[in-house]
Amino acid sequence: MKIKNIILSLACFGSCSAAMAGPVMLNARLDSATMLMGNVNTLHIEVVQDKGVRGNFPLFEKFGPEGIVTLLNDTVELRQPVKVDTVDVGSGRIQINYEVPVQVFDSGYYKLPAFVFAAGRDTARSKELLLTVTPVNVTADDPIAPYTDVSDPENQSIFDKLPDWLYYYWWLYLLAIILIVGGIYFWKRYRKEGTLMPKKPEKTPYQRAIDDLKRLKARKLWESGREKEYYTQLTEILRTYLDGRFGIQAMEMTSGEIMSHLADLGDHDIPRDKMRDVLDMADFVKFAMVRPLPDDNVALFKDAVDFVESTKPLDNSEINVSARIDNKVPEDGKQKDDSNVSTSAHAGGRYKGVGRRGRMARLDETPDRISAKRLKVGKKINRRESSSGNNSVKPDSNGNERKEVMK
Amino acid sequence: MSETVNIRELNDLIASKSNFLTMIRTGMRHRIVGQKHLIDSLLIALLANGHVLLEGVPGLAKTLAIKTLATLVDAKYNRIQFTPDLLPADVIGTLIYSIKKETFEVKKGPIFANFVLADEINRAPAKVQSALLEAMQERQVTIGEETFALDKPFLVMATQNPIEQEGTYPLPEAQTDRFLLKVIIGYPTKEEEKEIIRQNIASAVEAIHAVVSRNEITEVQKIVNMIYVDEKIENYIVDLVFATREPAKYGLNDLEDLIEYGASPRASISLAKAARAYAFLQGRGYVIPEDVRAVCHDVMRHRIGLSYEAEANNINSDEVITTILDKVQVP
Repeated sequence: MKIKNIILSLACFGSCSAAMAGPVMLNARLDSATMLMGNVNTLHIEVVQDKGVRGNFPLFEKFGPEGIVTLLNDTVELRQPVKVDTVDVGSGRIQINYEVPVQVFDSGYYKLPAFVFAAGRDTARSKELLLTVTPVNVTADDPIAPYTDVSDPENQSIFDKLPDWLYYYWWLYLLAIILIVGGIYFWKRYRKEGTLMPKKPEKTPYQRAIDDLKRLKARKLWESGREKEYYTQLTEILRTYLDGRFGIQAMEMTSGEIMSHLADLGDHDIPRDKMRDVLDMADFVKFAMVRPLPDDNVALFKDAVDFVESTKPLDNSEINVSARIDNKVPEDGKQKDDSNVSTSAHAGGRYKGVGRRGRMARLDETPDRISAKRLKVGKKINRRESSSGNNSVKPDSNGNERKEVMK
Repeated sequence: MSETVNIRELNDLIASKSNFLTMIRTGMRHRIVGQKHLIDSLLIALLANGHVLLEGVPGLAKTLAIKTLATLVDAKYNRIQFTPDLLPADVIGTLIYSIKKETFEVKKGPIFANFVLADEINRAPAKVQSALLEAMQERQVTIGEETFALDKPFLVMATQNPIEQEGTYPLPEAQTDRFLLKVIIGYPTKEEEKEIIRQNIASAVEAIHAVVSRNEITEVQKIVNMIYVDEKIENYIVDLVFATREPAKYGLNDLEDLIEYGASPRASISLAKAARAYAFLQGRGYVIPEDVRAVCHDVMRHRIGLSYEAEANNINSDEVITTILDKVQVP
């Protein structure tokens, strides 16, 4: 019974409290109790009051058109609140925050009066605040800038005579001159070479061919059963080499035409047989699905390297070859028609070789030649195959017999 | 033969079946002096089951060549002289009313032969040309309501004279496209001409006999169809044909204004077929780039339309083809 009464009493007190309006609470504080003279300090004022009740600071109503109100005989200046924030703190009450800039222009100890907030019939007061304003350390002896002597006109340096616009901004003018000179240099270079990027020294056809052959070998194409790709690349390397080295446009020529042009060079040191062997086998592999024996692949790669090495230019001999071709006089003693001569330029100089239009396997021109050549090649391959014992049949990676088979 | 072909076996097969070529060439040489290119072209067309359009002045042994070939192959030969008043029925045949039987009977025309010489094809009007060319393409002729298949082998060699253009009906481009080869033949050399005189004034002319039968030719045509054409060769052929259509893409900017229209897909097909036949003539069971280049001029020259600029600059299709062959990369 006793407990019941207590609970009932508490409930009545709670409901009465809720029905009654709460008191207005005011709290004021400074960011710092000490400040330098002339600096700005911030006064924080927090008002907690019931929702919906209108209140105001009588002091703030005194703000003039400049937004300043003074305290303590105009020694302390308060400015318009810079931030007003309202927070719902629950139980039907809100908290309003004010931030008021405070500025003092005289040093000393100040006691700010209590701030008054009126809300309805209720009035709240903050506590008084203490503020210490310290002076700025300034002595009359300290110069604003170091003293300097009057310059002597007799001993002036060249820099003293420079105009201010040059003296102070010399670096800017120097930068502009560097940019202009650099721009002119690169523009001339671009006009001359057609590019701003420095050109790498071009490889000679020999170097390029040897590098490409090394790369081809490293790829182990025929070892992985890609003979066709291997021979395609091998012949492309040789054709590119022939183009660069002898000016023979071999990329647009058939094997027969390439051999014909090599024969036209008339240089007995050129190992044409090796080139013929490589090209013939390449034709078999590329167009007849022949899969050569590993020994053949090794031997023909060596032939290709030997051909390149044998025709390697000695110093300026590439130019000599060019000269030989240039100076070649036809048997009839007449000047050779330039329409059948094409030129190709590379690192070694300009070459003249027999041009693309030189020869072409025309139906009415070369069937016998091609036929004879093919027969000869056929015999050569047969010889190879017979010497290998088992013709071109060899086990593949699965151990099955591989034949020259096509679909 | 199965789809999987052993090239060595194919080479052996070609070697065993191509003996007649030597005999045909020998036989042709007995009658015709020089004109090696003409003879090879006829053989290519025969092996590839195509037709030949021949351009050359009169008196260059065109008729004699095909007549001799017909004799050597033991085949039926007919010659049709094209004239402005020729009618399609004069070529393919017609229906004739038989009073005795009181029905219409088919009267087959001269097209019903193995070897047909269409002499001066550009002298006849377009409808006659069309009738012939349709028969060439379809290899069959419809007379009335009945369709007749033409005998195998069937080879038409049409000729046209390049110098007399007055009163002619030039073949439309779409129709020249149906000829596998267009061959330009020129005059014989001095030595050849002397040999021609000697042959013609001699009292006795050596007789020639058939050296191969029609069935054998048909068999050989099947072997030619088995000759291996690698993808690289196909790409090369396609590149050559595309270079006539889009020269700039192949670095042939100079040809851009010279070509009115490029070669059709039929050119690609013909190039492959003719290259195969050429490979057979060389005794090979596979095609190499040399084969393609060897037949390229004959296959392509009538399939490229040249522009006014080309004609004004006196540039012919052979020069255009040569430029293309020089530029397109060989596999």
